Amino acid sequence: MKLKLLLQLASRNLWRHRRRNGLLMASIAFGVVGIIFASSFIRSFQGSLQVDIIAALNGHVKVLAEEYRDDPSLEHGFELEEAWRPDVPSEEMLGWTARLVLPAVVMSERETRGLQLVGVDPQVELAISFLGESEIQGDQLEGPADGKLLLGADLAKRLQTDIGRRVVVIAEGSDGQSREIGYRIAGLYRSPQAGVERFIAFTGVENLQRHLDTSSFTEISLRLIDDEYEFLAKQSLAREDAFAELNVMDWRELNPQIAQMVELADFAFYIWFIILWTALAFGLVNALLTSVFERIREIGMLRTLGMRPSSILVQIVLESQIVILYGLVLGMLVGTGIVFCFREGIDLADFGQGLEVIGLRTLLVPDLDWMDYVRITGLSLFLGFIASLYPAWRALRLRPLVALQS
Amino acid sequence: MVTRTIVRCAKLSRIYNPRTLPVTALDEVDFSMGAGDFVSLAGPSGSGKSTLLNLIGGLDRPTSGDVEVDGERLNAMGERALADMRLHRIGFVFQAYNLVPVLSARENVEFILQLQGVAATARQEIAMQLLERVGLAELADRRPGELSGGQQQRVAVARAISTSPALLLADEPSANLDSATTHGLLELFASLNRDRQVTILTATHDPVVQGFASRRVQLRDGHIVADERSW
Repeated sequence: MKLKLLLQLASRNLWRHRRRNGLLMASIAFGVVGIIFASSFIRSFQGSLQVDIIAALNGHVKVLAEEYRDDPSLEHGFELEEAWRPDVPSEEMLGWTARLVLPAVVMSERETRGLQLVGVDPQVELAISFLGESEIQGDQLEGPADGKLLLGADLAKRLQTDIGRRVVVIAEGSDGQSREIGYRIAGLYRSPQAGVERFIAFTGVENLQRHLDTSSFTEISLRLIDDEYEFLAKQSLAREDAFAELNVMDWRELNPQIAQMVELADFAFYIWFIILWTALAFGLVNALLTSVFERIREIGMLRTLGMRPSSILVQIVLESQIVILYGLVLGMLVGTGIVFCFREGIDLADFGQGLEVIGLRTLLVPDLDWMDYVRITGLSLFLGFIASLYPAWRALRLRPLVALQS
Repeated sequence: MVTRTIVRCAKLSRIYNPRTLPVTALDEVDFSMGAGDFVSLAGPSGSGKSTLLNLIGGLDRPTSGDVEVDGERLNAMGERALADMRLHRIGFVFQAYNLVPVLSARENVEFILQLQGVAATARQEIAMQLLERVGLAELADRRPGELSGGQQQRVAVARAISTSPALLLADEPSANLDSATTHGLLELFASLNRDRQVTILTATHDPVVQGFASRRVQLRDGHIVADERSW
């Protein structure tokens, strides 16, 4: 009952100074628009960073020999029974694959370049790696026995070669000797991830094993439907007897710098939020203080009539919370609308090389996370509450008689 | 007939700035009022009438002495208890109307009832009855800014008596009113006192107001110098 009265007083008091409170609400809304706009790109950056690193042949969880990361050679490969399947529920898994990944040198008639030669089952790869998102010119690899090469378009350009032409790849065989393998280029892939097409080439895994005279793989990669299954999947693989000598690592362990950048994005959201709200808090405190000082006599009268000091405090806090709520709703509507206008993404191709360094895509598509709306609302109301305490305390300190006589 | 004592002040003193420049507003005043009294406090400016009114209303603390209202000793009360005391036992009518500007006349009358937690239907009924009593039922939905001074003061009176307080305190209630409006307001006070046994204490310079009171107390330099009943 009393809260209803305080709400009534607080909301009507706001209407008494429409212009001042309207400006305050607009500044809060403006801040919220900024936060939503910025957070949509922070989340986009964070999301694409994570998805891209998982799609860049890492998967959520990978099995590999401990020494392989320092010395990626067949010596650190491992055998895998043909019947082996990961003990992870199929509804939690997008797919899995065993690959043979080795450093190699590729030579065209005109140029020589280093690359990562990846022996794959192309159909599985389409589902779990960046190949699925890539635009392919020419032919896709037909299966694990395919003896052709799928080359990154950028690498092909650097090698001055093209679809249908032949290249020679030199890689180390199981005996430690270099093997020269002649490949015809089946197709060129163009990936949305800047960089990968410059150093990754695919071929059928069985064909590669035959050329290198081995039946080994160098890694097993597992991609899950959602991050939440990662922990259990990792545990399940780690329990396998066959992998007792191998390492089971998630994408964060494989790419600690990227993992830190993903975490940093969360931090950036809060930093941006606090900076904006600090500026807004000054305006809010100023408006509320002005409002209190304008109403000293009225507050004295309310106290004289028997309103408790705590009710005065609640009334001032409610006034701030109502302004903030209106500002939040307006800001969120406008902010969401602006983000919607950019739903096709912002093309950052001009900064392509710089983005490559940090593993970003050249097209940044804003991503709204509903939890950010909850965070923005909760934090704004909380910070607004803190900011309103000082004006409320000033109102609380007024002695009824002194206020009445002012 | 023995009447219930509503106000009892014993050896009541109030000294302002006791450490720097002491000003004695009240000096060991003994004063009491029974239920149904209509008392006017008169005296020149600085005589202590508003100070006495504020001490009895729990708006100020005495330097020494005791104040009791309706059997409750105010000296021992904290701020919250004093607020509750004012809310439940005392009605206030101020010199400058002092209505809540964002509430309508009816909502202003309901205000104290709402603070007391009276149900909406009951308080609306009480408010409308009182507004009718003060002749403002038709203006119930108007806000204070849309009412004349006299109308606002009548709303303030309706608000002050809405909870049937033990005591109604009025500080210069006619100060901002013309003589016709003053007369109407005093008629209202007199009828409330007569018909509803409302105990009224008013501080005033106005001899017309004093004329309506059944008991006139004269203050000078913080002392009661005269205390006479009309009937």
